[in-house]
Amino acid sequence: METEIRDIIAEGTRVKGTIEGREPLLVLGQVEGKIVLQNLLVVGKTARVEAEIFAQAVTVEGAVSGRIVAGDLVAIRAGGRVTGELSTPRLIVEDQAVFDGTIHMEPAEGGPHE
Amino acid sequence: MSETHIGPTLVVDGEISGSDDLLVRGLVRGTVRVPASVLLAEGGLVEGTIEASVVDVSGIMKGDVTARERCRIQPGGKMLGDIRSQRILISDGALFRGKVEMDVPGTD
Amino acid sequence: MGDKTTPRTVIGPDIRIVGELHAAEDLVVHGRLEGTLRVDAVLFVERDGFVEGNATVRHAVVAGSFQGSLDASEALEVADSGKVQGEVSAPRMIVADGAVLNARIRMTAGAAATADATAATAAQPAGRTARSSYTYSVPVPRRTPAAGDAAATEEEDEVVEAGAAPRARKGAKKQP
Repeated sequence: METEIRDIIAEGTRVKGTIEGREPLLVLGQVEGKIVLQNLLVVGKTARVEAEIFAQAVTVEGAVSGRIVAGDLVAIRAGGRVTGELSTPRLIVEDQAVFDGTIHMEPAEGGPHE
Repeated sequence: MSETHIGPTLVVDGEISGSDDLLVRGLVRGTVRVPASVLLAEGGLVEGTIEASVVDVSGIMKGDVTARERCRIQPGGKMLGDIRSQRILISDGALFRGKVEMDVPGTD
Repeated sequence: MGDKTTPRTVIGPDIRIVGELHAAEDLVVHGRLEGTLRVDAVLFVERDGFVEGNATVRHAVVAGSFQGSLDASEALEVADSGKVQGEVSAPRMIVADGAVLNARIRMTAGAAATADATAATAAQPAGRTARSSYTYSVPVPRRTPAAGDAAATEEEDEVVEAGAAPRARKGAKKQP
């Protein structure tokens, strides 16, 4: 499934502050602060994001440090690096992705005792 | 040269800087400081300050603009604030209220 | 599926082991293991398997449940049915859609680990990089050694650490 993304923070751009949106957002530059998105956030390969992120879904191909809270899915692609806290019901981590921090996922049943 | 595109539903609160052109169709509250060009398109709103080389306003600008090369308020554009630039064009049909200083801001 | 030419220990679904276990070869867990675990090769926690405690392995493939502290010197793969809770340290990690993790993860830098590690023959990375631009729905084939493969439901009690009195050692450090 492809999503055309029209909101773009280009590679040479730096945003310090809060970004809020309803459409998919592609970050190729630097963001420091907070991102609140009711849609898909794509952190591209060249991106460096230091932020609290609240989004419907997040795909990370670049670097993110901070906190990611996703309503649906977080995918860390090969080459992506995430440091910090991750909270999401679904997670995909590809080979050659790096994650350091804590992962909280909605508890499926599957208690410790059978 | 790439362009940062703030779409109609995007809101940025804070500082935008960097080397890319900027196209604003959404809302920016804060400071914009880029070496290149800023296009504040129809439907876009900037509340704060813009410092750039070329600034083109078709949307609404509330705040001061410093444009090293030129600043244009297009027909339909609205600006409330001061303009500092070498070349200033306020089109017929534009709304403008503020001061205009035509000197060379900073170095070219 | 999978080239099972390597010898391995299989813990069948009705087996429960509490204590210390050291496997020099692959270890396939369909049952329940509690305690301290060391696997010099690959640890497979199968869909019906359950491991709780401290595990030090070369490579782990979790399709069942792992709870505790896991140190994988090469990689951790969590399949879509896998659940991992606790602490993980691994230079390489692959998580398939459907997996559930509640853990503290530490991946040493240098993610470009040996891709052709011999351990990989037993458990190839479940994630193939689907590089369609900006899709966020990547179907990842689940890659676990076929359960039917471990037809050996007989317990093979290999290599239990000599002299170690079986004691339940719950090293599960649950980090919220």
